[in-house]
Parts: sequence; C-alpha cells; structure tokens
Amino acid sequence: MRRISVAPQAISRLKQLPPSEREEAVQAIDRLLHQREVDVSMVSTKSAPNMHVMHTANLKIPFRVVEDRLIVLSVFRQ
Amino acid sequence: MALTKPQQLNELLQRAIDSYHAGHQPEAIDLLARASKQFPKSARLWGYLGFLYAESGAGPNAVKAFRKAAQISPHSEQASLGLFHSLWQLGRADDAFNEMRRFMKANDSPNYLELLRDMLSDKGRRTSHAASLTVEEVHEVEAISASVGKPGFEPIDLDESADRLRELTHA
Repeated sequence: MRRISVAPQAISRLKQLPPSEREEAVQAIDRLLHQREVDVSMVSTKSAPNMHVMHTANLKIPFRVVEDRLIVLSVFRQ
Repeated sequence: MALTKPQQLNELLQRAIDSYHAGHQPEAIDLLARASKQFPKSARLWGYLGFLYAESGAGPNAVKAFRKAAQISPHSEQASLGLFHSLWQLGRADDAFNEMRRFMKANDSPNYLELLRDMLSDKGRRTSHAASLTVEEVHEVEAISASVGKPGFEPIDLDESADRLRELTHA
C-alpha cells in the first residue's frame, strides 16, 4: 500500500464538487492508495518535473511523489 | 545601470514565464527561441523552452531543446526527465530508455526509480494525455507543489483507506 497525503487545496476543491464527482475522486484516490489499476499520465512542469495526473471519467487529479509519499495536489474537472 | 549577463537571462526567463502564465504561449516560445541565440549555453533556458514546446504539442522541438539542456547540464534530473518524457510522447521508447540509462548511470534518481516501479507493476497503467492540464491548472498545481513541506502546508494523511477523505469532504 502506498502512503498518500492530500493537500489542503485538494480538500477545498473536493468540497466544491457535486456529491457524485466528489465520490468519484475519493474512489479514485482509494484505488491509487491500494495500487489498483488507474489511468495516469505524466506531466513535467517547471517546478514539478515528475508530476502525474490521474484521469477519471470526469476528473483530473494531479499528484506528485515526494520521497516515499504520494501527494494529491488538487482536483480538476475534465 | 546596465544589467549583467546573468541578470539579462533571469529577466528574459521571467518575461517568458509571465507571458506563459498570462496565456501567451506562442509569445513565450518565441521569446525563448530568440534568447537561445544570445544564451546558447543556458541549460535553464533550454529546459524552459523544452517545457513550452512540449506543452504546445511541438514534440520534436521539445526533444531538441531538452537534449540541449541535458548536454549542457548532464546531471540535471529535470532536463533528463523532460527529454525522457518528450521522447516517450513521440513513441521513441528506445531513445527514452537510453536517456534514462545515461542519467541513472551517473546519478541517483528517485523520480526515475518511481517511474520504473510503476512501469514494471502490472497494477498500474500509463497512457499518454498530452497537455492534460490547462495553463491555469498548471499554474495552480505548481504553486501548491512549491508549498509542499513548507510551514503552513498541512496535508491530510491517508492510512489504509480514503474513508477519512470521504468524511472530511462530504457535507
């Protein structure tokens, strides 16, 4: 099992989502936690060279690996 | 007072970043492409240019720019990862892995190790979504990313399930 932290900004974003999408995000993060199959792409940015974005039906969930921890940074709608 | 060369470079890079964040990606690319003639040995400049080319879907140009950055700064993980990802996006997996091998021969790289772990895992699947985040989203995520580990950044740690997250976010 992975170690996962969720940034406060991601929590705020989650709270703004409608309940069905909020649940979609929680379930996606749970899949990430248990290393089940997820749809992930990599995005290099200037300050986060190894950022990943998990894709669900309606959402994009960017995260970064920092040492042994995976940090969910935010949640965006597709 | 006239700016020194490093100051001129910093000023140019800042202008390009500002332009990019304002949504003027072609102008930012043009600025850096012209500046690369003035500062051909700046790995930072080539790295930024590579990033902007990759963001705009100009894969071959991204490869060229990141390759320049990696040649100038062979121990830069950021340059190497940029080159790896842009080669990968073009379907040049062999060349991408050659770059990974080159870098890992001489450097520790937790990011490449994580990448390999995921690739070798049959539980994970990676697909390509070029430019999957908008400029505004990249901007926001970079700001959050920069705050990780700093005072005031208090993430929620999940243990064995995401139930805690569900409790915290459900009304």
